[in-house]
Amino acid sequence: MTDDGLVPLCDEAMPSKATRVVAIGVAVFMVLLLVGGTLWQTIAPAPTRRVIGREAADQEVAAAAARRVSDGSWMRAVEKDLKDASQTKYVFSPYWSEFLFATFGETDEALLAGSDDWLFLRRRFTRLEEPPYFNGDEISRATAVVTAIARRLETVGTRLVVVPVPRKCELFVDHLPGWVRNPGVGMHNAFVASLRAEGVDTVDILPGMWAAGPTSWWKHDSHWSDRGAKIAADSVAALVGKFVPPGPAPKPVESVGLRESPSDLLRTAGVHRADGSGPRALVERGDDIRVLDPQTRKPLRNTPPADVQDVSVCGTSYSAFADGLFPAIIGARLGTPVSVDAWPALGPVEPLRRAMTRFSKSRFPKVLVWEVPEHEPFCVDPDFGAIGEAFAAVPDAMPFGVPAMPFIQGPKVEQRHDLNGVGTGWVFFRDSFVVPGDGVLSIRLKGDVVGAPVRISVSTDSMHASAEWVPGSPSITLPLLGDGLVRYVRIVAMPRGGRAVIDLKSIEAVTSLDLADATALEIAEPVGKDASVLAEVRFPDVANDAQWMWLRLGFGGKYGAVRLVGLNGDKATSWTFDLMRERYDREIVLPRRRGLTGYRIVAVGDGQRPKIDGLLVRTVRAP
Amino acid sequence: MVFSSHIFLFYFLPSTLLLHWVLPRQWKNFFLIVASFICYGWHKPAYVLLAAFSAFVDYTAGALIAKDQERGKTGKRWLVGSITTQLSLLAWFKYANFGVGIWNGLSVKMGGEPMAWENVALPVGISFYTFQTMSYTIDVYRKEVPRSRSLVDFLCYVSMFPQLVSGPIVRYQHVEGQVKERTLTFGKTVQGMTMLQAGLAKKLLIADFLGTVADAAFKSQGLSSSDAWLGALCYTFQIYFDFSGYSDMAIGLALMLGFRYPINFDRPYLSTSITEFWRRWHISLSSWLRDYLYIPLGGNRKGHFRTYANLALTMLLGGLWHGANWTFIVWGAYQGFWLCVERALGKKALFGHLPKPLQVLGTFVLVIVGWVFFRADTLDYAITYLGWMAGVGSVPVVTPLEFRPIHLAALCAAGIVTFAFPTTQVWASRLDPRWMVTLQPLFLIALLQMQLADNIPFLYFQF
Repeated sequence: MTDDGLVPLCDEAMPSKATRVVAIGVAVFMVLLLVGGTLWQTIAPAPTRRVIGREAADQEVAAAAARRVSDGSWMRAVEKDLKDASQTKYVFSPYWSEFLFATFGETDEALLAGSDDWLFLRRRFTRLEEPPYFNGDEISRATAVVTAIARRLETVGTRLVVVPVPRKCELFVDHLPGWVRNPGVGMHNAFVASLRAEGVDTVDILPGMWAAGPTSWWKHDSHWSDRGAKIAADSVAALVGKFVPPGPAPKPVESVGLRESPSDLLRTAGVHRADGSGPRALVERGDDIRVLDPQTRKPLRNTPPADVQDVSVCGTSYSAFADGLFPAIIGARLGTPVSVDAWPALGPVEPLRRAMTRFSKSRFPKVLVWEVPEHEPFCVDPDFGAIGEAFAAVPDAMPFGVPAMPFIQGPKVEQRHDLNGVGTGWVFFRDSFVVPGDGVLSIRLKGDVVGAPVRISVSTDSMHASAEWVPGSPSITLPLLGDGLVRYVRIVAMPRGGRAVIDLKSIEAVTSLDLADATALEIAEPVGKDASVLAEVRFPDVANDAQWMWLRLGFGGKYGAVRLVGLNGDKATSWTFDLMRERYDREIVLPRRRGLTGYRIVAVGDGQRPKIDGLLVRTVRAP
Repeated sequence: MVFSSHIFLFYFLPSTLLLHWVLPRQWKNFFLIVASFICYGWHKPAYVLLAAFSAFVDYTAGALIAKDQERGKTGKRWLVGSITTQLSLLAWFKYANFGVGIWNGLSVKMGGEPMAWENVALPVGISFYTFQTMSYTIDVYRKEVPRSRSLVDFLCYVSMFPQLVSGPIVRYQHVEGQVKERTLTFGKTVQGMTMLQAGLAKKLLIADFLGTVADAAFKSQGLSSSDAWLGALCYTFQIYFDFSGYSDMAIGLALMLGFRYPINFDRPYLSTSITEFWRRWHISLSSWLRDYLYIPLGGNRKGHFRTYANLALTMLLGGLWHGANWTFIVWGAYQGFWLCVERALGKKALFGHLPKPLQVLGTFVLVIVGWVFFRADTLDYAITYLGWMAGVGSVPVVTPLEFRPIHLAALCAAGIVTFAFPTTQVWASRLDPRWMVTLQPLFLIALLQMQLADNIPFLYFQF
């Protein structure tokens, strides 16, 4: 330390020649690096990254419009733009990333490098590291969504075949580092079992993938390899072949050589640039599998037919990549053309919605193969808005009769909402319907959104769903996927990243439940001497044990309150719903759960006794 | 702006250096004020007004004190007014949330209603610049420095972007002459460049990598004893390399502008006692506390009891200076406790009877334990964490710590640089060609790492 506590100074004379030379070198190096780098990126900025997906692009535009100087968001955006345009980053960083990966197995925080250079997306399993490791509710929720979609498609004569795509970290758990506590092994099996228990046709591709070993997946990509696509497609074709007659011309599927992995994870790791360029040393190669012309044995282009075919495939990048290899092999095995609705980076629900919209304009296929990456229902917030729209796209041949049920209580909702940094919300009370739990009942907001996207959250007593309402979209529909009685519906609108204006036209509860061919139930005399018991209804097909059944109750226009007690064999208090505490004059919808034999309707309190006009029941799905 | 960001290194720094170099002498200080406030207010422009207000208050107070003294008065009222204003700013922006939290906690316990309160945002650097300007008024009052006769010069001294946010806490007496007249030489520039390069490498190639381990450890719900020690060790090196890296960059930037700043670190982890540690760690703060708090309180001149009380109070307030949290208060108390113990034991100190390497090791362990209080979010968590380190207490779920090969490499590098290398300011001042040549690829790698990683602010920005 110097006496004055200040930093010691160098000897300006620099007695050694080496010191002088190196000092000049350091100064020149710094100037070249910093000033040269700045000039370089100013004159020729690096190619900007590509925004994938319409929603992401919309969000970028909205976020850009919402930038402000006062809160620093504008400055941060400038910083980010300048960094993105950096030529030093664009040109040299991939080599540093490659060095880190090759030397230390170090990569982007979004990734995890396992043994033998295997790369995994961290978000696919990190959420499972915290207890509870295995969230059964999530599987139930995902199963409920898929089951509901299968049921809706049945009404239009379409058989849904679900293909859950296992997560890479579950398939290749041996390649994960030892400290990874729980990659959620067993989740795939539980999901498949849960779907099959609900009677949904489900293809389990995991055993085939395991049998094939590491060649079924790319090490440096988040997707299956050509060999994996073939294994999956073969399994699907084996099941679908049972539902459709064999086509006239099966085609051979063979490897025609080797090709490079798309290496999307190397792009995430920064080793490859957005355009795929960069160091090539780590690129892996695998079988290049193609569908061949039976006569010439030459590879065919996997061009799907424009029209909807008997077999249709919708899904994500697993179906879209490698030039649509997965659906192409299904078609080749079945010997029939297969129509395809597959897009990368949109999740599984949006392609389904687009497919259903397309089908509703022409015809529905006999079999719809839905490729669903299993991390989508489990590991990310499901896009409930798109699920609701997917339901809405299925035509209602026999409308319920009350397609839009206005709320009977609640605040007066203003039409225009100017949301500038803070959100708004409304609470509605409606204790005369029960959420059936599978999305046939939804909350729909209609209107226009201008400015930033708005996060709409709908919550009830037992569930919560949220989705982004993007500018330009005329409505947003959020299905109620919880279970149980709804006493209130709370809707919250929160702008994302800046100012947003909602011009609200309506908020309504919508349903596509079809009860037109419901049958009347016998109303039994009350059992016992309890005067509060108004009636008991018994389902007629108890022996069949239908999985879902809908009960429609009509009551006379009297004030009062009743309680419905679900009957389950000897246990008479299994399910209890308090209904119509204040007033009612309309139908309610109740789920019939497995094992439920009927309902006991009990008057509650001293209010006027309601009069029961009639009861209807309909089995939605045959056992 | 963060020193280790693309915009600072590629845009702000070259343009500022260039303009500072070409501008005529009479414009240099004014230009530095503008540039410094742009740098400081880049993410929150409104905070510039607060910093300028703080500086203006003390500039005025200094002038009024000097005026009073010319008239034969002490000028104490202006000193009191200035200190009251600065401490009020600190109290409001830094401690109001903490105070209301305590009040509400007590109120609820006694059956009352909590006070409705909207948290006050903490302006970055407020602890540093208030202490810096307070030292000026106190020094003027003590007649240790003449009052500044130029608001531009004074603002330049306070607002200099290399030190405004996180120090070093520069006293006016350090730079009084330099503000008025400074020489910009090739040697200073190259020395500054190497310090900047070394600081950037320390931050990006060691501190940030170790920070991921420390962050994971200090948010864990359960760690084995060895992992808990590993997490604490990583934080120990992270805070040193982060803060000393920042200080190196700050001193280097100042040199490139012709200023000579006080050093902040002198190989603190080689200390053989806690007393020595505080002579080597965050020197500009510890000397400030010594000169403006401990000695005015009586220092060691008023008997044993007062000496211990003064030591404890100084360290307690030093802890509180870092942040409004019980963890910092306990950390300060912990440091004060060991300082008192060492003072009581005399020159032999705690480990004085051991060979020197063991003295260093013993002190290092005490420092690591202290950092647990410093790093933990709550006092309860700190105690739980210490329990994990000691292997006592129940651990419901032990989560393995993610310690990757790069972390091992960074930890080894941290150990070697800490214990085997001279401090940056020493070897940079020698302009040793071997050091400078070795540093260039490290600087290049640090730049590449900066481009790759997110901007991680320096730890001391939060204070």
